[in-house]
Amino acid sequence: MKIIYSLILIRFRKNLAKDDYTAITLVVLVYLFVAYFAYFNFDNIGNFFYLLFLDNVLYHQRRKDLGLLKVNKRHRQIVFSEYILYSFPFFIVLFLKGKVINVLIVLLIYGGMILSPKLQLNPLKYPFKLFDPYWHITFRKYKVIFWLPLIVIVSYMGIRHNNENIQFFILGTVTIICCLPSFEREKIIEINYTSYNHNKYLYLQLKNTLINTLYVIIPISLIVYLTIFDISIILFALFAVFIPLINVLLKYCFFYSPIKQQLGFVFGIMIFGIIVVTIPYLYREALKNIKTIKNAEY
Amino acid sequence: MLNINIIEKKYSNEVVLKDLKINIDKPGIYGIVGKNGQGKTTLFKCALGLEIYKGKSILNDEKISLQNTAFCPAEPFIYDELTAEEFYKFYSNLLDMPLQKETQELFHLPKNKLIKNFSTGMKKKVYINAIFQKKIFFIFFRRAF
Repeated sequence: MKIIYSLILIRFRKNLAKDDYTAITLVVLVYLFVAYFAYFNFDNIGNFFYLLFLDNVLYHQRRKDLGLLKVNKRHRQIVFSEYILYSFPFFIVLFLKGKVINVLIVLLIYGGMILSPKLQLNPLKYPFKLFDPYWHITFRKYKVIFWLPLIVIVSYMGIRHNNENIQFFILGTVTIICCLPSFEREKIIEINYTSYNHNKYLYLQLKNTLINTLYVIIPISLIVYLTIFDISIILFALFAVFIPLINVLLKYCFFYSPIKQQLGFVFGIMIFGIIVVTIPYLYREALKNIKTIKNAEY
Repeated sequence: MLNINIIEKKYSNEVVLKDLKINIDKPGIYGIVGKNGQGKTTLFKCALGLEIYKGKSILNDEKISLQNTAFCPAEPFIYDELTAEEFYKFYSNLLDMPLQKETQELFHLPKNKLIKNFSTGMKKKVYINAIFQKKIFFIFFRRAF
């Protein structure tokens, strides 16, 4: 029991300070509230409720302490008990709703997952240009490809409830996703290594971002357009393409200060006119910074 | 011809390297041996211009930089979420090298596996494959394997 308690504590340690019992209590209360809410809205939530059990599956795939736990003979039982305890309030909801078979199915999935060797799936191949590796990295790290079915579901809900704003929300979300790679920074040594001068380097970064953004935006815009046949979707998509490009400029303007870049980005989204007017300035500053990094004389 | 002349390299008030001269005029494999913390890595970094120092480092009448040499550190700068093939392509873009139909890799590595699943030695091979795309006259290795 002590090991299971420690494992759950380790799992929360990323977000909670050590021995911060107030925070731990709050998290437990949130869990209980989610279970309480799910119980009273079970019919509305439907099968989405089972997504709560998915957390353990994803966690199991990325955890690195399984090898260490194998020193204990009962490591499988320990991990199994940890997952049951972690999702305990949700199991109670299923029990109270009389879904005993579903409880058994979830337990079987957990058991099978623990008994089977770790999944070694081949990495998904993306069509992105590799001048900036963070497109691949972001899409893999955050498993962005798995968000796409969610986008389709949300789009369907928008059509069903005659809410066209949801379609714009989807495109907005996709645009933000396309901005994620330019929030990351390449290693300075790579800017030193490159055969291109600062002008060409920035040009290629912008070109790379534009092409990769189009790879994502074009199919999503077409899907959304075909669902509502509203030309303003296409106009919105044309406008959305520029946002990741502006973020590239902001990245190099504030290469050593990601916080300033994030603030500039948020400010730019809120008052888009101002950021458009400052593009020539941002471009010049970005060039200046790349040149300084590339030709740094130590 | 490689000529490294480090008059002085300091970290705060501590002198790490002093009056160090290296002249190499014949092609070959040369090694530097020393205890931990004696300045081997600092020497490489100074020669490559990655650290501030008093002195000069020349390779074939040109100042040494990452444009005319390569540096393979003990822990190479690689991206764990890429495959070896993608990392190779990334470097070919960075170095403005035309990508061949069949990549001319020095070491054979699994293609459909993320670098994060590689061993330390394999990770180094990924990096060496990438930097050896370019014709270079000199490569600095820190702990080859």
